[in-house]
Amino acid sequence: MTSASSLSVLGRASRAVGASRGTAWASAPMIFAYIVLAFWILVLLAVQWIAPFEPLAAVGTRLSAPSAAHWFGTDSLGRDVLSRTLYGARESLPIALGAILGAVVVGCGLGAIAGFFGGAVDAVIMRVADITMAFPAILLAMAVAAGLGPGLGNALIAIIAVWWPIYARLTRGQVLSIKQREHVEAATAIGSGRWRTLAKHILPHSTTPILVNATMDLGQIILLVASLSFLGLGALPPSPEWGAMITDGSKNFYQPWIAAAPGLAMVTVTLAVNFLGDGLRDALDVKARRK
Amino acid sequence: MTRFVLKRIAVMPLLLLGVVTIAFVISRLLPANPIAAIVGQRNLGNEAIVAAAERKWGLDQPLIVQYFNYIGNLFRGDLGTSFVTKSPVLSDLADRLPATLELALMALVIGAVGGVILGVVSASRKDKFADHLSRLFALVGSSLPIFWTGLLFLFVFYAQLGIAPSPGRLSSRVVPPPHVTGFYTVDALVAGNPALFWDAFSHLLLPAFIMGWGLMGTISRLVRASMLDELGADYVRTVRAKGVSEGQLMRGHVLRNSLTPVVTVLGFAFGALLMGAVLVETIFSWNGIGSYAVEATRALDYPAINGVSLLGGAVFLLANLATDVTYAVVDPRVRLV
Repeated sequence: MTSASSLSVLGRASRAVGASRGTAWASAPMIFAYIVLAFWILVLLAVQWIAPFEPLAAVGTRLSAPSAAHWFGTDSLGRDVLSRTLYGARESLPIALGAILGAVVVGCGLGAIAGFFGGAVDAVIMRVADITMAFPAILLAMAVAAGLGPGLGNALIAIIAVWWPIYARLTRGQVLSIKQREHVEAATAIGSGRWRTLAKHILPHSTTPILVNATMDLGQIILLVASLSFLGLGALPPSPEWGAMITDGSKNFYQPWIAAAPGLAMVTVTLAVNFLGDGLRDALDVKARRK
Repeated sequence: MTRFVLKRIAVMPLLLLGVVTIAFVISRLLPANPIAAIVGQRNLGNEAIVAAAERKWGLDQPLIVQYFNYIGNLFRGDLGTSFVTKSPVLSDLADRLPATLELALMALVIGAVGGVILGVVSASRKDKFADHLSRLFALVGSSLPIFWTGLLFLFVFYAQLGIAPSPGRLSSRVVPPPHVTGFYTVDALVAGNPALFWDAFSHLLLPAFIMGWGLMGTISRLVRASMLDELGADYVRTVRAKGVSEGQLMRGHVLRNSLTPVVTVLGFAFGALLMGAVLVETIFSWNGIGSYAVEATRALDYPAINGVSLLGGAVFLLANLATDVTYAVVDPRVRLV
């Protein structure tokens, strides 16, 4: 979120220096992103054939260092760290995707209503959004997750509760500007109802910036999910979720390989997603960004 | 300008009231029961103890009464009493805030200085190797899970290489300086103890770098973009035509104009750093607000959670206000209304 206000400036500059749209799809960072994401999608779909061992089974000597049999060693229960990391993708990534999707749906829904109908509805929704954004995000997520009890599902709810206002603001801004366009007036003139106008003639025109922003936020969300798990508020043992595995690693400080694999996995995914977000922004030439 | 600031300050209590209300609602509507944190798991079956504890902490009152009691107490400067430490939340926060502030300020300095340097290098060597390298370094910083980086750095620099000190604010068996500001580095200097200053300072570096790295990325991208923007401006051509050297042009003209946008992120950044503190303090056994928040959430210590939320909200709002005002001061084109 810290990079938020810098992005409009970045977008402006990259156009100023002539980043052409065609090459933006095939720049080196984008190609890195495609390869990494393709790898993880493959893992998500076919992990049972790719992973050398079962994620929850003790298959080696406890705390053994990386070897030919166990590329990333074994953990304190003798489980294979590499296999757990690969299976961990099935825990971490769907939750992150679900959280961003939930935040987009809730945020865009409320933001569209606020922007389209205006008045008291707008005031109430946007004040709640302001207050939520004044809340330290990780703290609010921690409080919600702690109160609901640990578990990935609750972490998902907690993250949606924290992240929706960003999309509410973004969508509201979009709707306010699109509402003034002539095709909306035309639709109203030929008798399109208000909800129909909103759904058919306004929202479809605001999807690009929302898509770009969601991609750029996904990396942050992946880190937030893992942070909650790391603090014991997300996935529970023996789940191979990446944040939870790093907690495990922190308890075995002198066996760094336990935390190495999930950490590397997370870094590759967030880096790829951040590259993808930057690339999409350049390729689709989106200048709008909140704040 | 003065009117703008006064107006913003006037709205702040309302927003903070909102923050507190949300924190309160969340803490009371969620299914988890804090009574276990108060009486201990063992006594949960004992109805007399549970009832006595509920009465003592006011948890037997209707929710709305609890809420107004809490708000009323807030206005008297009473943030409630922590279920866990059994001491007033306000004094807990006051005890722990300096540790976090010291860390966050150090991180802010590292992030800002490093970010500007990287940004300048990038912009003046655009599309060359140095540019790619510094952009990669910056992006990696914002893609890293800081609790993992913390572990990794501790393992490499403390356990393996032995060049970084142990986690914590001071080496073990080192006595903290007498309390003046609560910043160990400052207090050590006040006490005239350079060895102690160095100990406290060296303990700050690693966690502060990890917190500042992400910020470095944000700032360097911003500086790069705005310098490249400036380089296209008409006055740059004029300056070049006068025969001024490239270095002089960068330092004397372009960089100065490019730093304005950096001010806008520093406020947000400070708020974000305080949040990063939650994770970094856990890894580095740092006795600050972040680790207090983690302990409070784990124990469902609601008065403490609400207190930290209030503090975090206040810091966020003040940082935003300071940002807007600074922006108007450094850039006369900005008019605050």
